[in-house]
Amino acid sequence: MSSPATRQGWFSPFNVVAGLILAFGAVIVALRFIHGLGYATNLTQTTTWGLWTGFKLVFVALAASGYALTTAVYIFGMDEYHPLVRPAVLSGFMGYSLFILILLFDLGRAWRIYYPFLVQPGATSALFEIALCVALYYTTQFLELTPVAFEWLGWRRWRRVMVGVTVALTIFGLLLSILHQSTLGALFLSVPGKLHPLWYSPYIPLHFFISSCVGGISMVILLGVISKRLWSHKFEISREQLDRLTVGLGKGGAIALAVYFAVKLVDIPLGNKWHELTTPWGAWYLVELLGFVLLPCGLYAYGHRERLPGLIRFTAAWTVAGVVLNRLNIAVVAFNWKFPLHLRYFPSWMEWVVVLFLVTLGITIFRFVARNFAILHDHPDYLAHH
Amino acid sequence: MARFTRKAPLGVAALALLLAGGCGREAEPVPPPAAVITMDWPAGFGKPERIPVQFPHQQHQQALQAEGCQACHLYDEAGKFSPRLKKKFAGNEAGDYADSVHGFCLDCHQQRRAAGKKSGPGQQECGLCHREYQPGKWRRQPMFFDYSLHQRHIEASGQKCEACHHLYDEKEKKLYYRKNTETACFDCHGDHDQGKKPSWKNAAHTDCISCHLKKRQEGRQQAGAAGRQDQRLGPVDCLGCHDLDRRLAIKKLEKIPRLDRGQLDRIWVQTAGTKAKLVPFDHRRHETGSFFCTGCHHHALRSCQDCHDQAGNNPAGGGVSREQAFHDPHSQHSCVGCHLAQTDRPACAGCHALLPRRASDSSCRLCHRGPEPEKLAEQSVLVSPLARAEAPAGTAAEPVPVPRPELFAEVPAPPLPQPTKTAFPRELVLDSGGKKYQPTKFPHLKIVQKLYAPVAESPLAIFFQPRVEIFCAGCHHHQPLGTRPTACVSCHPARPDPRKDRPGLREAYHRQCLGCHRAMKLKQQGCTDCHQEEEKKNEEAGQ
Amino acid sequence: MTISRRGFLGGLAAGTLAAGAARAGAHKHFKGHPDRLGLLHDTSLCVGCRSCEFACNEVNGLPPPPAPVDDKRVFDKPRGLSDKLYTVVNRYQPARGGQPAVYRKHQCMHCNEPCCASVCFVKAFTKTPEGPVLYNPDVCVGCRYCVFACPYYALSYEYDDPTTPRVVRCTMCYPRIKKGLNPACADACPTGAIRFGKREDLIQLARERQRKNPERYHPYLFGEDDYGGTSWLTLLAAPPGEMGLPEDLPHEPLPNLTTGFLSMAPLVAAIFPGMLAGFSAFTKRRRQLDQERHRAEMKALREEAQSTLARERRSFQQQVQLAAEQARREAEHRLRPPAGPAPARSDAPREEKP
Repeated sequence: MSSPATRQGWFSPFNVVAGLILAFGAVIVALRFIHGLGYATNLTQTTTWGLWTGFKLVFVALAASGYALTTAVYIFGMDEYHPLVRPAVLSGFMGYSLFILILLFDLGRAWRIYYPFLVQPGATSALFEIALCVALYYTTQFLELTPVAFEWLGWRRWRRVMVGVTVALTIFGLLLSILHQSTLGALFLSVPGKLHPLWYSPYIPLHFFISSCVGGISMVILLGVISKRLWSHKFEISREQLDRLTVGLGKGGAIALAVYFAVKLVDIPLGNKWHELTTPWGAWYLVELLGFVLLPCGLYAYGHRERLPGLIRFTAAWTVAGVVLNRLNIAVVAFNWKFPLHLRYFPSWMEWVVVLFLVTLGITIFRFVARNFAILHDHPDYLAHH
Repeated sequence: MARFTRKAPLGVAALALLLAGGCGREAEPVPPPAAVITMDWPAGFGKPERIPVQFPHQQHQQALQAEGCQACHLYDEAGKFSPRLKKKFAGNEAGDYADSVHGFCLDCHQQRRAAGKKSGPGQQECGLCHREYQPGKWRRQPMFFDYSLHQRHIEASGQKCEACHHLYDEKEKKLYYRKNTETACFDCHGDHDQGKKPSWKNAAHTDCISCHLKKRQEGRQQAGAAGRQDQRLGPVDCLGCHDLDRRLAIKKLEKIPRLDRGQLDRIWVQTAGTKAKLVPFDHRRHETGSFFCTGCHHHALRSCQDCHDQAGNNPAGGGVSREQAFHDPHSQHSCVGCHLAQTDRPACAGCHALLPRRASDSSCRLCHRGPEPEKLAEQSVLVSPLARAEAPAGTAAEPVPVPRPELFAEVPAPPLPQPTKTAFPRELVLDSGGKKYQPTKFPHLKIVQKLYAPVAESPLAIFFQPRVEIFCAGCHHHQPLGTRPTACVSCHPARPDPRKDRPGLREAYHRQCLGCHRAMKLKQQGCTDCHQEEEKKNEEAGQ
Repeated sequence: MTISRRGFLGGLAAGTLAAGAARAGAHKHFKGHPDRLGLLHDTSLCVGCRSCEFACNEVNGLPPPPAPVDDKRVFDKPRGLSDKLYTVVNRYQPARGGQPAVYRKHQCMHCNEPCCASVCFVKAFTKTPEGPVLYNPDVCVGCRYCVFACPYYALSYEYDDPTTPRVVRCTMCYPRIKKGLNPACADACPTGAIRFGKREDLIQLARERQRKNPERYHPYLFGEDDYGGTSWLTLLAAPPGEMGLPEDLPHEPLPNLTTGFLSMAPLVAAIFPGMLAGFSAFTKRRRQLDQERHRAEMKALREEAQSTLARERRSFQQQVQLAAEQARREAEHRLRPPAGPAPARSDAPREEKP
């Protein structure tokens, strides 16, 4: 697509489509701020967190690619994954950027977002911990990406300094990630009567953290595949090398999904919830648990054993869909499940447009940075690095 | 390969856990057929292997219509139907007992199947009999008689009470009938068989169903093989007696003569052992006030004190003392309870729903208006009861004292007083000092007349409200009776005392008025139906 | 290379903050301020006149509620609270047949341990000693976690205000209470179904009413202990589930469900940096060992190559010498003159250096 023969400059098919979406989305966002939340959303007084909250959770879960890969490479020393670190961190950074954007859209008074830190902290709140950890983690990710900028600027000494603190930043980032990924789940601890018992558990924080690992690993696989497909000449590793890494990541995915499945399975007798499985909601829960957790676990394991990178890639996409499904189930579908249909919340079209707008924005910026900076390959001036 | 086999047990274990959770339950419960009988497992055999069979009797009855009841049931030498089965289930051990039951049921199923007819489950289909039904909506309604149904039985038996009612002679060891000793079945027949005396359930099923069957047979003989599905014939299927809809659909007779069991028209209710005055009781009057004798004589056709002694020690009385038997406000069978149930009618509930649900202290005298027990003779008249049960045949019994007729004189409803400005105003203006609404014009006289009309027509109401002040006290409560009750505001000031649980004037008005409207199930009132809104005062003038 | 101080101090800072959070949210056995006020709502006395709704809206500066008091069709569908309706009366049909319909007023319950206060990350809610829970719109960011978490659906949000949206709910008429007045709804109720006073006294009163008239009430005083207790007590004419209230609520305050988890955060912050630094140190050590082994291997290889080279060079030198010697003899042999005996020269052949 970006080969010299088809490069059409500013009006490539991607740019046109993305541009239209971004323009339309920006209009909707502007309308939301001009007229208020009631105009742009279908939120009710009884369901006040809707699609945007669901996607807040999705973006953060899938942005776990950042901490997953930096931990693997810098803490556990799996150096063979080094080429994927920068794309993963960039995608993580984009994920959190989208999270912050959608948070700003969802807040009633977005301009007061700094209040918990500087005006009056409410430290008993799970949301406070999330805000603090996300703010610190966003900074950490930003610092992890500064070497890219310094390479581009040619500031060698600064680059050397930042590279030197990589391990410390990774440790800090993993700690913060553990805290806020699980605390995002802890948000739902205070609503036992409103969230369906199959999804509600005192161990929701653990579920969220493990599924974030799952989502992160799967996103890395997809990133590698997509980057190779689209920007093959920029990606410094060969097809065979990427396939090897994909298969290796598949093993990680299988392990993470197996742990997730075990934890969720144990949760059912712990909460005495067997009888819930035979209800219609139980059927939907089993679709999520068996179809989007157990099945990809098996597929990952099989793909790893038989060395089938194609299967692993498919499973990665399937797993990402599963993580999205899980987060949306908890935030939207299984929330206020007892309400009759006419009182339930269904997202408005404008909410969907804003989500699409943000996803497109993320993809566009990722694409721009990946194509123009040393993300998929080492900067030619710094080949001595490793 | 090694790596896969290491992971496989995890998957297998996971699957097994899931399946274990799903399995281990019985088959899906199905809705129950009508009229099931749970087949009990004898206690001595410990825990049964399978859940008890809920036998669908109605279904079998319909399936075996051609064969009739003798397909399963025993008919004695006299050709009388018995609820007992042709085979007695017995065994030394659990297995033998189960075999005897299975032999009976499954043999029949097999035979029918061999004959090509629709049949029940076979040998290898345990779960189809030993299954759990969903709790169904149908509930077995205990059979009950009322005057109409009883009268129909009297007519069907040709005025022969001995067709159903009997006594048992211990010495002769046989049943016999004696007039004026008729009583309910469970007066003698208990919950379980005792030797040759069947439980009242078995007794009823034996006698009732065999008689009904006989009638059908006679009817068939008369009308040929077609047989009559006659409404007038008693039912032989479970639902015919034990289904509430069918029970209530039984045609009611118009005129029912008074049942004569040798009872006296008026009696004294004894208060022996207490200082309470005797209660003159119009038994004849009360007979028509209930649906059947069992309304009051709920267990046996005897005097209350035969079972309910003063201390409540008599086990036959169920631990209920004599005082409670007469005065318990929550019972359907006590005097007070039945009278209170009458006040639940909408015409009465307006006042009575707001009053405490018990006999008021001032009403004691209305019932206890006889002499002290020692002075029984003073207000009594001696009456010879006709053919009392205890007397030897043919002779009249000893005369007994009964209340004089004057004690039962019908009093007319006391008239409402003439309206006056102070004591009994036509109209009142109720003003609780509220700012939102104007004072209410309360049509006092009209409401009193409207409420008093059903009272005047009800002898029960008049009996308990012999003076009109008692009626007034329905609204003018918590004060001594009088024809000049105080105004509400004297006890309900506009600003109530916060230490008391007594409403202020506005609250008192609304609770009393609206509470009455609700209890009488009147159409819901809006605020302006009673009082106009206050004109909005001009709030300008520089503020 | 050690773990950078930056990382460690950062972790410590986060841990301290989180520890402070956990301390604030830790489970305390606080029985509540002794003289706090409350309200008792006797649903057997409520006739559905909705005067409370009108009074509440008037006192709070809201437009009057929809439908005038005389229009009873408003009860056909249950209504929830909204940003224009801080309290609402609903009609309920008890399951026991033949009973007349009952009414109940719903509003913020002013819990003893309010969930909204616990989940607010800018501490916008305060539980006053008098009883009401107050909201401060000056710090509210509009995250609506409070609206999300309230188990009674008591809070509403002003979705239609783009610039100053607030969380709104019953305030128990706090300004009026401070002045010694009653809440507006208590004053407005014509039957006295709402009674205002000290919470302890109201509980005693409620028990007394239940004792005197057991047929009128369901034997449970809602709000006495539910989720730790509320300031609004409800005497129910039918079971809570039939009157739109949640049933079987635990007595543990709702915030406790979250604080248990949050109190783990400082533990995680304390343990993980060290643990991860340990992993990282192992990795580093492994890499170092790998490197050293690699270096040692390279050194051995190099020495071997050098010795081989020296050996080769020596043998090459020898070969060259031999070849030169041979060539010289060859040359000599060729260059010797062919005729007669020549006088032996005493010239020694010139030695050529190889």
